[in-house]
Amino acid sequence: MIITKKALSRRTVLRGMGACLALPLLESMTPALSAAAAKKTVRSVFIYAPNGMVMPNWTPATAGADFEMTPILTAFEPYRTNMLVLTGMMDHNGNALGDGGGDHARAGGSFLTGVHPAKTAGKDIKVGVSVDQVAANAIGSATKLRSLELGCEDSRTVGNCDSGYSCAYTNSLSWRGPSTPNPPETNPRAVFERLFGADDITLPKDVRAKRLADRKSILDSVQDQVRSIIGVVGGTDRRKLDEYLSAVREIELQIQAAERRNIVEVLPSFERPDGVPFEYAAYVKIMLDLAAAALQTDSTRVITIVLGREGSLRTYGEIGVPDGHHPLSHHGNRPEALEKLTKINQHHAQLIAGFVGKMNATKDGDGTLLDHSMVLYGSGLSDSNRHLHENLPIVLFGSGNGSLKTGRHLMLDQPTPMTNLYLTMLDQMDVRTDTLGDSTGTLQHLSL
Amino acid sequence: MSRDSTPRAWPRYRTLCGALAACVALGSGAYVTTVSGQNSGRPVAPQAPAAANSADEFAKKVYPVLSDNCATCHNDVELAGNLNMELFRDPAVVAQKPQVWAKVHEMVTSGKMPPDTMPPLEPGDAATLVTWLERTYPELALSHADPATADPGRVTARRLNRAEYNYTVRDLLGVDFHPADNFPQDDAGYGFDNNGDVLSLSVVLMEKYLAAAEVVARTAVYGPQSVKPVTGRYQPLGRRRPGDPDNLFLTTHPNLSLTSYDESGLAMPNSFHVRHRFPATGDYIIRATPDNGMRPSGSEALEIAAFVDGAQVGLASIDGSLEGRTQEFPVRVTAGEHWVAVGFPRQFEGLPAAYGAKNPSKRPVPEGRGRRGGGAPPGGAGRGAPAGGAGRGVIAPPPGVGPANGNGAAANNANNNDDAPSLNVFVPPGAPPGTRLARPDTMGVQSMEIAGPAKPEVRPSPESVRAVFVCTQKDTTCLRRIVTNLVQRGYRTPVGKLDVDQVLAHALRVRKRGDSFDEQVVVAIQALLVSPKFLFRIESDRVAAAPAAAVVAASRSYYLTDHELASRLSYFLWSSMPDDELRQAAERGTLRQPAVLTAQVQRMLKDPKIGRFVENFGGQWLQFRALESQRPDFYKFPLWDNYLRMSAEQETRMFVENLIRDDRSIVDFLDADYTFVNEYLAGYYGLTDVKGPEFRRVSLANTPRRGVLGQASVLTATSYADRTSVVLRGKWILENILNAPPPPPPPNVPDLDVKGVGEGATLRQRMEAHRNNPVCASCHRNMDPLGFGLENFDAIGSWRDKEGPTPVDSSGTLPDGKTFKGPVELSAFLRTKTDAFVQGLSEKMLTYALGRGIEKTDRPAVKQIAAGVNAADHKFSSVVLEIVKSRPFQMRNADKEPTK
Repeated sequence: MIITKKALSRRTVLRGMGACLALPLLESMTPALSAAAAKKTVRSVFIYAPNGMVMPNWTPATAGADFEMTPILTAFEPYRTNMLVLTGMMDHNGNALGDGGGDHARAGGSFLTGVHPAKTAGKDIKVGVSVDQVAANAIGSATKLRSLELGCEDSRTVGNCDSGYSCAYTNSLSWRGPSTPNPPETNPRAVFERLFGADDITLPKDVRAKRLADRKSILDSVQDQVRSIIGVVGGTDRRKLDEYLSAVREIELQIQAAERRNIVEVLPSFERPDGVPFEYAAYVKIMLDLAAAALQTDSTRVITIVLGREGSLRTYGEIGVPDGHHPLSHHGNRPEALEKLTKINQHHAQLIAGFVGKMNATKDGDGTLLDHSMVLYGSGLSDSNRHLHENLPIVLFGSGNGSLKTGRHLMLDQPTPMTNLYLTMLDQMDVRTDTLGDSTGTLQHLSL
Repeated sequence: MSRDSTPRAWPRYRTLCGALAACVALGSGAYVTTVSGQNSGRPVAPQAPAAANSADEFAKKVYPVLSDNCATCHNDVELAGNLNMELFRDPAVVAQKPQVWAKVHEMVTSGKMPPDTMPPLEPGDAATLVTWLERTYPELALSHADPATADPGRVTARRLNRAEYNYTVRDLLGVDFHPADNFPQDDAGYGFDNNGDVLSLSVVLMEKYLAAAEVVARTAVYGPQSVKPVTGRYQPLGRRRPGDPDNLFLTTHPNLSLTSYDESGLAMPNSFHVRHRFPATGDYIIRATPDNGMRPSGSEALEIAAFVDGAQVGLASIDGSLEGRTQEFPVRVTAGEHWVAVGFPRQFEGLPAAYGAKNPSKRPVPEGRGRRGGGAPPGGAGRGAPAGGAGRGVIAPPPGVGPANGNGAAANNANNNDDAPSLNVFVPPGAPPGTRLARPDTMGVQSMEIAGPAKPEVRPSPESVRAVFVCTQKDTTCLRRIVTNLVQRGYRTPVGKLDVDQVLAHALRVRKRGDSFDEQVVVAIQALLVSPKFLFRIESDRVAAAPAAAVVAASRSYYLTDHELASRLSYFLWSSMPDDELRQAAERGTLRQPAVLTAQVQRMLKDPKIGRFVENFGGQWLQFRALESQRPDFYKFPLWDNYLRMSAEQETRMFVENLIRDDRSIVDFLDADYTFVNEYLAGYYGLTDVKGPEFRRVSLANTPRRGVLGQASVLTATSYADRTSVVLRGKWILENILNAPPPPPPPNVPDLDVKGVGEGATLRQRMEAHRNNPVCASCHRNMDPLGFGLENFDAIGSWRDKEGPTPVDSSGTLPDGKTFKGPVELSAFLRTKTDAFVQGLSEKMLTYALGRGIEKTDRPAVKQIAAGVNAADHKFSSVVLEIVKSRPFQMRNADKEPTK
């Protein structure tokens, strides 16, 4: 059964007028799981910031529990005990490795996959399956949506995105298959509808039941159609039809899962957002609120969020940085450029802190939502000026149900692949996989 | 693929060696015809020779050629283009760098290397090099195959992109609410978002297909679906914040005075414009909230008006404070995208007489207010009055802004005090010395909301009824006819019984359930719209599907079916399915006849639907589609607002559309001395005598603007938010006009050493320092001079003589010594590179037409297309026709790609 919202009053539904940007998470939002079930559930969220960070203003000087907050991390001070700052992580496959320019595209494409993206503007795009999708494959069937991909940069791109790389590498953080990106949803309204239903809930129940039956029957028959043509088309065509087929199957599974769990009604206590808010901060905030709501209602347990595409040109006039982010990130060590970049980094950090705070304030079973989650925040570049893919700015919030020792700054002795961290995170989610991209093992010293 | 012997004539280059060889030479106009001309290739050895022989031959014969010629610049010191030929002194390195050899082959056979500035290769040397390259890497020879037999390539099944989905649904079902606007963004490849390989299908998208199919089908049969009223909210790009200076309209906007201005208010700098998509025909409310601007004391009420598509649809007047005076304008609007604006008509009328504007205020100037300094005329300097003054024609400052002592905004505005010259003070021309009046133009629009629809149109559109209900009986015979018609058109190919039955089955299933006839049709349409045969354009791989005669003997290539060809044509030019006429031509099997094909293309170019090509091809090639995401720095470029942006987009759109409709020469892109402007853009460009919001053609003969490089859209798209970039513009010219895209910068861009250059260095000095680094220089010496030619245009395309205090130096010197100064001379220089431009545009348009990247095997076709265009006086239609006639467009290669 598709999740519907019978209890929503007609007035609420029709009150789509007027911007409604704050989405308070109220207790009335029924968690779909009982407290006992929630206890074992570990969620993961991966949030990406583009164009690196001003590392001297990010990295704490000392390791351990008493590290001093830096100008950027200071936004996270209230959650000091819930955070784990990691220094020494690298994304080796973001490097050129003989492929020349295009570090931004590679940083985006390799960040969650640990795979060196094939250099192509289109034909044969290829990277690897991203960590969130490994998790989604294992645990996604338990929730309405196997995973959720969100983006906070909605723009009409034209042309190649970075030095001969397809825009797919910078648009999508999440890769379902090596050639199949999961493009992020950038419209809050559409995210809302995915989570809480786009159905016209004013329709009688039997009409809705009929429509669901039609949908299922259509999904059934298009699979027959694909099977009848897939045998007679060539290699690349077949790949496209495979994508189609697996998307159709996925939706069937979603419907089945919803029916199996017999979810009755999930009532979001906030209104359907109208569209993309004008101000960036409001935009990010509503997307993060939706992410928190998705976790709270257990609509999904795996989320990726792109604050801006790698190489983003966004300007931040509202915080006194009218320069494009990417050109600015080639700061040439000019003090005023570094200062402006730091402002952007701080701005992002504050928005993330708001999200962490919300998760921390949300009850979930015997603890908080944050307790039962792992929120990774960082970038695939450290110093964007020189396109460095080492010593990445990475911070992890939440203890993954008490299995990670937070409240400290961990400095690794040697450059360590991001994928090692991901394997460790997957472990906490009970997702067993031996390797991911360039992983060499799990990350030691993370747990208690 | 028969060839005769060695190349006879290599291009002749006479110019001298500059310092370093360029990574991309600009001056090589000759490259198109020499090596690549028809049948002038060399014999191609079928197999690569044994490695040992090859290495031996390389060391003895080939390396000396490289060493004597290329290594003059591509050596371990100069490292031009980041390439060191001396590496290959060791033959063992040769095999490790296949990508180098592909590049060498491309550069040498295309004539781009050696560059103009260096002596050419001896013909014998060239033959030695190229023969070795092609024997070692046989696929390299494909680039100069006979265009009549070259591999036409394979296009991967293309999923409809968002624009194509919208248009196809519109043309198939008469449903025009743009359902795909809510789909996830399509990825782009090779410059366009219609690339079959890149367009992927995610679960999210599949969900949206399912949902959209339901709504589209119901809209087609029953009319707009429960269109809930929603509110769209818009704000100007950058509005004042507390502490900002007041709006700077009069001081920053050219050609604007109190007596000569747009009295409708539509095109005034303080008007506010958006494009809004109305989901259904119905009643809407345009709600305008003005800014806290102020009218000088003693002024008459201010008018505020709303416009839809340039026509005034409502007028209100506000007397007193603007604070909180939101105005609502009800209006009935048809479904679809419309231009909505709010402005202040006659805003310089009704001012106190001291302003010298038209129709001065008849109201008395408030006693004791509005005087400042000695000698100011009565009423002059009043900045406003307290709210109590309302009703006397005075607009008050917002609470807390400051004392209403005639200097209302002072408290928040450091610029504004009685002694310093102030942005808030206005001195009318010819006024007595010491005159200081309050600015008359500080009002603006804070936000606009568009709410609706109420009373939406509920019936299906006549187009829908016509498209769906081809018969009216409510029986299964008619049902089958309806479904057959839709499936045939929607699948864009002749369909079999099975295709129809698959869709019909859904209708029959719900019929059994007792659903109505209309409901049966709805479910059938729904099923059709999620079928892979609708969502993808799949071209058949079975050679048997084409008539036997269509298969080219002794090759694995075959002609597309006529229906597939029709589909390629219509998605190329209309971003949608074939119309009836095109489909019938395919049905008759005559589409491939040259006369029929030409006539169809000409017809399609004249059809209004060509606007979609302008938007999708033109918008991506010339990048005006990206302008909406561009955010020029509001403080540096306060003139950049939605209206300017929309006007700039529209200029380029109309320029392209006109060029197509009048079938003009594509060289106009480079040097047209005409363009299309409305009053606002005309003022912006310094043109006079253009009145009103309509766009019209104007001559640019006496201006420095030529072709697309003089248009604000391109100039802005190639700039950063806060400044121009000679690199971006130079690169854009290399890529889009000179067909010589520079290679990507090296992976780790070396730092520009600020200290070495000096803090106060000009941009030009900094760029020159940059070019002292040989690796950078090899490309930037080509890019930067071109960009400098446009330096008189700022980052939003406005003319400037100075940048800050420094006069702009718009001269450029290319590596071969050619010089130019300013945009007109740059345009004249580019005009001499027409051949390169033609080839480049042909390649880009072919990329778009095919929906795949251009391969080496397409190069013969591209050259043939360019040759045809050259022979047809560069008429626009000739580019399209030559593409349509080319093998890659007409044919397809049998599957040879391994199954993955």
